[in-house]
Amino acid sequence: MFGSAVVGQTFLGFALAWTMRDWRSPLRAVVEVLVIVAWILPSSVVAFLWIAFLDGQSGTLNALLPGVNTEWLLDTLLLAVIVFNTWRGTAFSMLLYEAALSAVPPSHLETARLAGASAFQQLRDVVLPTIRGHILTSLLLISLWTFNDFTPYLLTRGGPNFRTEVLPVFTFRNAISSGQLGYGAAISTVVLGVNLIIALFYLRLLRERS
Amino acid sequence: MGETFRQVLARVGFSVFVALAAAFFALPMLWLVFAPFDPTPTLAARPAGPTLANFRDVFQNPLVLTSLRNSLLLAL
Repeated sequence: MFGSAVVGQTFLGFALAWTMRDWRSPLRAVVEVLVIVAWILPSSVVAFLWIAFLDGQSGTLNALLPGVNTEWLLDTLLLAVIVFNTWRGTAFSMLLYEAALSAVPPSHLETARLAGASAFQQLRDVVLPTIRGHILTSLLLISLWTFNDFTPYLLTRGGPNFRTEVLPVFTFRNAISSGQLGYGAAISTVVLGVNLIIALFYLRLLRERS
Repeated sequence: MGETFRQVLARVGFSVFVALAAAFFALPMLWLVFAPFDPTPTLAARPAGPTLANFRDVFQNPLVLTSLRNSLLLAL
């Protein structure tokens, strides 16, 4: 199973920004507000919402799917956390790509269209090279935020049997709940190291631009 | 209208995509629309009540005002 909240947030955020770029309708504001509300609600409220949404007995999701009684947080494990995180974080990508797309000169797109480029070719050859810096910055930020995110703990407490435990939760459990100071400090250093590697990787890609 | 089949298809695809995205973002929040006004709330999103008893209980708890003040102090 392949899943990643960073991939989900980036693709969904870009897809929303790209498909809605020329949409002049009050409905556009409704969609944007829904996406942004998911982003600005406090983590504790959001965790409460998703526990209710994914509940096996009476959750909204199972109520919509007749005959399904899956206890999503227990049965789909990390996939549920990934979908949750995509829901939670897409707004940032959407807003960033909306701003980036408005910076693409319309004349470049017009030229490409007159030369007979399809929508996909315009996207690949005109839009993506222009907003490359935005894409990398967004990927850097959401990779770090998602890697360091603690909200899965509010949703699952790391369970069942530690199977949805992410590294920040593991650190919290060992360092603070169990009081193993040296062990906790060592994991914290590892977390820091992983963050530095992610940051260096993206900064290198960004520098190759010039 | 002079629209080609491809353009119609693109419009339908766009509408379906936007509707699905809106549903994905709205559905988890549906429960929060009903539960605060529900006299006997469960984890199910269903219209019931409405009652303001839950809100009355919140504001009768003195600790709420403490945490509200703390949050405001942090945020202002």
